[in-house]
Amino acid sequence: MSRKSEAAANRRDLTLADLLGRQRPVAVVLLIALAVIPYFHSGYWLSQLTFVAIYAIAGFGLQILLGFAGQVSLGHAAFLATGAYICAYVERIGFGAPIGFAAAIIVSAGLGLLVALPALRMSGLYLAIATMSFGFIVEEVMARWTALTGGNEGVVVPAIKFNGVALDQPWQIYYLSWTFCLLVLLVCANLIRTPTGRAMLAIRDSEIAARSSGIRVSRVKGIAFGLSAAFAGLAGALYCHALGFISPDQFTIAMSLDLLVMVLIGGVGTLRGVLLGSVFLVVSPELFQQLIGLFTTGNTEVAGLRPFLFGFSLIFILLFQPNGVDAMVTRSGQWLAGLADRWRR
Amino acid sequence: MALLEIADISLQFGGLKAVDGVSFSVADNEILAVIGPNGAGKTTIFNVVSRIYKPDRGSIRFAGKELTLLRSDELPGLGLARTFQNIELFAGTTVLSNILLGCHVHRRTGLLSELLYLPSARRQENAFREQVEELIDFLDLGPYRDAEIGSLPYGIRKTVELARALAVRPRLLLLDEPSSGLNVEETAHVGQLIGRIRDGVKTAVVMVEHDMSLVNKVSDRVLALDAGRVIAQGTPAEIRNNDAVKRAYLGAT
Repeated sequence: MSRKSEAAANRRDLTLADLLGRQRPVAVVLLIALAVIPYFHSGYWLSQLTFVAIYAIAGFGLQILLGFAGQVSLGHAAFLATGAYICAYVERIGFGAPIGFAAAIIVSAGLGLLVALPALRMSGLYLAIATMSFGFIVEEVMARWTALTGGNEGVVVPAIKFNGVALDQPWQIYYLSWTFCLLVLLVCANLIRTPTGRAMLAIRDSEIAARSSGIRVSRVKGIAFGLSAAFAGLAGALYCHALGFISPDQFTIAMSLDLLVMVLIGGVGTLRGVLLGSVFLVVSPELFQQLIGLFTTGNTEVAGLRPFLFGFSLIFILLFQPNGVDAMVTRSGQWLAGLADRWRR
Repeated sequence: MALLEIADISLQFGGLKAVDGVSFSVADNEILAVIGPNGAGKTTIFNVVSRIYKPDRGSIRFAGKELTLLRSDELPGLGLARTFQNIELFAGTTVLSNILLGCHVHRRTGLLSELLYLPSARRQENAFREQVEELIDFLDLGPYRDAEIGSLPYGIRKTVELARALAVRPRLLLLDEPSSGLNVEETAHVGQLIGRIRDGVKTAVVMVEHDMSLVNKVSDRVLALDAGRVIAQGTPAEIRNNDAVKRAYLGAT
């Protein structure tokens, strides 16, 4: 690029092409692959890929909170639970999916704003404990508010109804989830290239400097919690339909930790990392299970594989690559590009 | 009427009177240096003006508004920007984002138009980038545009902080020890910059400074403090020959 066009490029906003950079061809290939997969496969892995999208939506929400705004949440499953139960309830009493989803997002976002209130006075470990307690409270409410939630027996979720047409095939939920996932990704990318998203990075790094740059810290924290919870609520709404059945034991602290592991392993502060983390979360336990199956006979179900795998990977990542799988991908990309350059010469 | 008018402010920390009945004013486009021995209350006055501390009594009027009634995040919108003695940058992000954050007060878009990146948000980003590039040219930060703050030397970080404050387009710029941590050449460079800022950006400057060569070179007026009180005000030459100032720095003579 000549100096002049470079100077011109510096004087304009970041386009999506800028954000993708050299990954554009990879992104296109992945998009096409995602679009055509249901034509070739409709079994187990299709539903697993649906969950990759759903966890990624919740993960984007957590990334806004943790990676951008620097606020930790150990109770994020509560927002998913809220979205799932509200959506299921609204649809059970006869409304269509659009209203069910909207209700899930709005109620979760409202709850997020509520949690933001104590967060204005807390940070770090104290905030972690407060959000964890919030998670326990919601868990307890789920078990006891039987009129809404069906209690510990759980509830069967009706199929998604859109204008009277039921979307109950796995491939339909797959496309719906990935459409929402890509929309949320787009919204997050927009957030990070505009003032409110930058203000989140600012309060993460220095609240005092943020204030002296005219940023109202309480407002930005509120937006971070609200958006984060809204996305988790949307994920919850999709989650309840993808499973068809929900009960309180799905939304425990284990799920909150899974979400946190996903963001940490993927890479704190990066959107691509969330997608990578979500693939890891959904695919790796299954992959390991099958790998073990290759070497053993008989019953190969290994108890406690999942927590072991996640815990081990987390320690490994934090020790050797604190910026997550995302940074590894960046490095290997640079290495490949260097290799290609040498090959051309 | 003066741009900044401080009348009789006091602030006590426990038994210590950090600021004790200080009054002074700053005119448009003026450069005022605040000097004094360690513990004289210079930085405390800065923190009172920028509303990090609340004064026990007294009033601070800036462009006709009473600052003691406002929050610190409301001040940049009025045209008051500052830097910090020990640099407060957004360390996890780039030089570019840091300076763009200085533009935050000029934000006119709502959250929704930003999330959807509507044309209004896009136009605003383009306008911000234009302003930031002008500042980057003005302060010679071009080579560091996309560098993360953590990787930069101290002097460059100070310049980035200055750029962020200028992005506010201030009418009054508060600089807390612009030369601290810099070597002789860098300090001379800062002196030139402050002069250029006043003439180019049309802003008044109040700076806390220890380096008397810098004070003598750039300031129109000097305010000397000791033990929380104003002991002298005047041109740099007057202050150099003021007996009270000599006593404060050298002890009784």
